[in-house]
Amino acid sequence: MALVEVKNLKKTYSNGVMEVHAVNDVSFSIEKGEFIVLAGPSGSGKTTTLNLIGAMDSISSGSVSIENLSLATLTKDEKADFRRDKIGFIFQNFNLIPVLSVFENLEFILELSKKYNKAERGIKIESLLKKLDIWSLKDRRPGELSGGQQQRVAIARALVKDPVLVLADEPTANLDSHTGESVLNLMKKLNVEDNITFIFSSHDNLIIERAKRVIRLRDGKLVGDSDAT
Amino acid sequence: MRSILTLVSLAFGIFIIIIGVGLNLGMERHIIKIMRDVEISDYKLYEKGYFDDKFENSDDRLDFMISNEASKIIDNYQNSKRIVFQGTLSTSSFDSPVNIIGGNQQDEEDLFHRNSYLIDGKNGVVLGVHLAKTLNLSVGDSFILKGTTKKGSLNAKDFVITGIIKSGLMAFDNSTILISKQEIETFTEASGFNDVSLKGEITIEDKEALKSLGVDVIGYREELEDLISISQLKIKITFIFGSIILLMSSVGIINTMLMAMLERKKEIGILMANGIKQNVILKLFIFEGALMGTLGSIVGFILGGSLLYYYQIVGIALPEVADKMGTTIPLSDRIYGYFDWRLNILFLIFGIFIAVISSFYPAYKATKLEPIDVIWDR
Repeated sequence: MALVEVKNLKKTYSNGVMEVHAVNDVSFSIEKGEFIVLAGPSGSGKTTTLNLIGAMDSISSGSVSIENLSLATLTKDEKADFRRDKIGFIFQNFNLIPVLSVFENLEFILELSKKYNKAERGIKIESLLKKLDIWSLKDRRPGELSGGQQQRVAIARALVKDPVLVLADEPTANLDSHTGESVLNLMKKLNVEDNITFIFSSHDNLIIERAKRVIRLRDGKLVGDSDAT
Repeated sequence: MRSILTLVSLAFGIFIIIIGVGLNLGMERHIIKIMRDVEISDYKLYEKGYFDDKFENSDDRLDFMISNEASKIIDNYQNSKRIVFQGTLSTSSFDSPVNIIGGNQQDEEDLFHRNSYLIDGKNGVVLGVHLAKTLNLSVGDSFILKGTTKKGSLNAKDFVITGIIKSGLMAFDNSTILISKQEIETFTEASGFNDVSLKGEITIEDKEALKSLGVDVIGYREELEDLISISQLKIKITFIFGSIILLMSSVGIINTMLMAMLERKKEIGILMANGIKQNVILKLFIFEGALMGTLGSIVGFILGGSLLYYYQIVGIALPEVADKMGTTIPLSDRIYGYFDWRLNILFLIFGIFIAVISSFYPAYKATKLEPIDVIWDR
């Protein structure tokens, strides 16, 4: 059973005058432990596809199933629970909460799940931050961190809830090439060592070169699905 | 800054309501107390027909003498039977309309403790303090009392002032002369009484018996009905005025919370992406509104309550202009606040309630945000 099953997925936006097919009849499946890139130029539908897989947007037609759970039938609250428990997001702009420290940015994610008490949360966060080599930054706020450090914190925030899937939207777009490479190496390491499944949307060659598999999109349609060589 | 201004406006609304309502309540209670202590006691008894049109009948009070047969029932209770009428006090320089109370001095003393209100002299011919001041009269001075006898003829007589009284009730202190009943009976050529102040709880049987003898029994609240109505009206106006301020505050809260929602759109989006539910966002915004409302209301409650408590102890001296108003509207020479815990706690809750209600719309708008729209700033 595939971890992610996308079948005939469509997403249509209407501006009142015309309909735009952001994703048009896309099908693919992803196994656990994959390190996969949705690649394509701007407007190809890669971010929209990522949003649909992450239950951040509603599906116009077709289906997306994660661990055999169909997202199309979920209510808003069920989608929220799904995102809380199953998906880790990494954004291009990091999107950390500026008024919270690094530690608190991770802690509130665990508070939402209500699975851990305060002591357990502390242990879990300490362990993860040490693993990502950012424990020394735990008391700093996002504004006091460099771009690379913020993205490492964002990765930690995505991983802290032990998601089945990490979705990363252009994670290196706001980083210089050296920092971007370092961040990618970290994610690759996590994929290899911990078997964490990553799906990226990107047109950055740095990512595409490291991916095990590349799904190419153009004008909302799937135009290629290949293992990286 | 926006939140502080909103909080201040809410505090101001609660402050105004607490002070306004508290002062009106205090004034009402204080005047009722003084009126009972110096003039009414528990009941007033009048000949039938007088009380229904008391303002029209005030110049013809001697036409409303109470039947002597009623005395038997009245004497079952502590009372003061008097002759009360309108006359004119004349000095070489001034004429002033006055209200003359001719009562048995011992009965008056027993019922109203007149001696304790005397600020100069002794019982006998006693003038209200403001009346004496206005006419520049003091103990030992004489004046001419002019009035109409029961038969309708004019009468005038010299009196020497034996005492000056200060009740604290302006209508009383501005225009009242207390003279012994015998003197007034002689002056008015009337015997008996037309005004009874009575202390105690009159039985239903006695009320009915007095009614059958043509005597109206008026409780002190009914006697002060006009005053209480005015006071209640003022309380309502104050409440409406305060509510308008609170309504304006609620618009401020809505605006503040909407701006807060717009400023935090991205954070809300991040929370949504990480699985926070709509009802939790709703609760967060309402909690923030409630917190703002609670803080503002508590500040208003503490400031208003403290000032009101101070006014309850010390009172506010009325300006000179109130002297003149006091002749027609019962006013005391000081206004005292009254801090009613239950009522003011209700106002406090009302302020919080307004804030919570005002937070609903911004909270609802926040729940309608879509995470992808706010994260990617669409």
